[in-house]
Amino acid sequence: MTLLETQNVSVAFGGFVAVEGFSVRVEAGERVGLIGPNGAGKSTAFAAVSGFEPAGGGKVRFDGVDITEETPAKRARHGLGRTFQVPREFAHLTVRENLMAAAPDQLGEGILQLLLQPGAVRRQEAALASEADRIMAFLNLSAVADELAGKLSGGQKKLLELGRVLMTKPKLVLFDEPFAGVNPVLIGEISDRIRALSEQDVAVLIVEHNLNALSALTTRMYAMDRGRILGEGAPDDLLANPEVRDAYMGGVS
Amino acid sequence: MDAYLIALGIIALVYLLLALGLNLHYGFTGLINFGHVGFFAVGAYASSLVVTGGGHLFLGLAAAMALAALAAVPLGLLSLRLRADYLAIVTLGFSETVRLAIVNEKWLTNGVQGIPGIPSVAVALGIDLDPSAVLLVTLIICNLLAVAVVLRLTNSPFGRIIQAIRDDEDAVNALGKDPGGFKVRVFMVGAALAGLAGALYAHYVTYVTPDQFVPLLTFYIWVAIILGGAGRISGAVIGTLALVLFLEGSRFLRDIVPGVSEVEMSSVRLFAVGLALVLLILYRPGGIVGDWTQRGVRKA
Repeated sequence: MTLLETQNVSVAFGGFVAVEGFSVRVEAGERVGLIGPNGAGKSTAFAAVSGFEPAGGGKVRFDGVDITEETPAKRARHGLGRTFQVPREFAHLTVRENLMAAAPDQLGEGILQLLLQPGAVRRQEAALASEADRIMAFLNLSAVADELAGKLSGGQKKLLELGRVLMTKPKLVLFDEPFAGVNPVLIGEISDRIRALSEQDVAVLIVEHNLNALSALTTRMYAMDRGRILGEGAPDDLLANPEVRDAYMGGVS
Repeated sequence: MDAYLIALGIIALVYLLLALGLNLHYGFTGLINFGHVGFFAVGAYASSLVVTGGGHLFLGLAAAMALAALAAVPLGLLSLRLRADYLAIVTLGFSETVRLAIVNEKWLTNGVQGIPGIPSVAVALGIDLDPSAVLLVTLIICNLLAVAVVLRLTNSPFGRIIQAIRDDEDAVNALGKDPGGFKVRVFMVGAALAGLAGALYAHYVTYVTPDQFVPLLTFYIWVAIILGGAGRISGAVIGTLALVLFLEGSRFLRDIVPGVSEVEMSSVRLFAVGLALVLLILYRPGGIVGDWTQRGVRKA
């Protein structure tokens, strides 16, 4: 089943066309990569899919719904999660609070419910706390559960972002450079967690410059250059494609 | 001396209600509100008009809170589209607009002449005791209730999200939550507290005029929460106490500092407040109890 499908999405900043004719699809539970040299438009394409940058043209469909015009928050509520290139942890909340904040449909986010249904709010909080504990155990974050998120190392922040997205129970997660600035051991760990996710039928679309780690992790990749998709295929085939190699070498054909 | 202390207590508690609201806006949610006095003014005039028009005091207080909260809605909606610094300008404009509307809408507010003869809380409730003492008790009760509400709101899923908004709004969006609804509600609750403060202040001074609602008051409250530590309830309490002690206590500088005339003294007082603030920012930038960025530091 096709979960995410974009058709000819374009994004322009003034006269500069950052992304054009961006058409990709991701099946449920699939692990897909998106590569390309710096400035190719990968992050902008991500922003158009997640709603942070309005698409100038084209369509974005997710889980059978046209989400092209929806706000980022609404897209996330459909199950389209994302992480950011530079981690955006809630620096002055603890790791556990970061995770609990991410859970959807919380009774205690309503002022009247807080004042009138304290018991129900407390029960839901207890359930969320144990859910957060489970995810912290999965991501090896249990030891820092009560630390302020701003004090974590760069790699731990990446794991925290992943954990936060998991709390939203996503169907697909867009990862924007999950391995950037992360040590090799942690890269292996993050890869394992992403693989475990897709076994639970969560699809992932990953932008990444670490091509070795990415081709080991994904089953299919798209390559972009100068705002356009150059090609698509199995990781090894795509990396052998001369056009893609040229784009990375900065060669002008 | 007792009367003076009660008067000090009343002013401190009125400021504390204002500080609790502003702390919710800025300290917990990161909304830079430079127009807090606008909500204070709306509350003061709402209750004054209701009660001098024959309404019950409780109706006046309820109207003060409801109208101040209502006035906050458009500001909350604007805050969705404005960067923090622009919100600061817009809120400052809001409070001046409120003040100028009060000056000009004479049919309702009696313009610059103001509204005299507002009954004190004791008179309005028919309590045959010292009006100042009755007001002091009322203010203590209101502040305790306000602290309870703010504590409940901040130590909750709601509180988690507003602090998350303060830290990174885009990330809140990415998690499927609209920051807008939270900001509007925070604006309304903080404004309602300011409205209540305004109403009780009006029943204290028993007359209101537009020149009581100048931006200086907003900045006093800012000084209070910065002095104490933004994003913490203890910060608002300690900061307000410190502010009132400075504003009032510096009166007594006269007895210590020789060769300064009465007129020069008011400048010396402001100088003392300014100096204290500069020293604080230099040596304790998070305020007396520390602001939200120092949360958990002592534990570590």
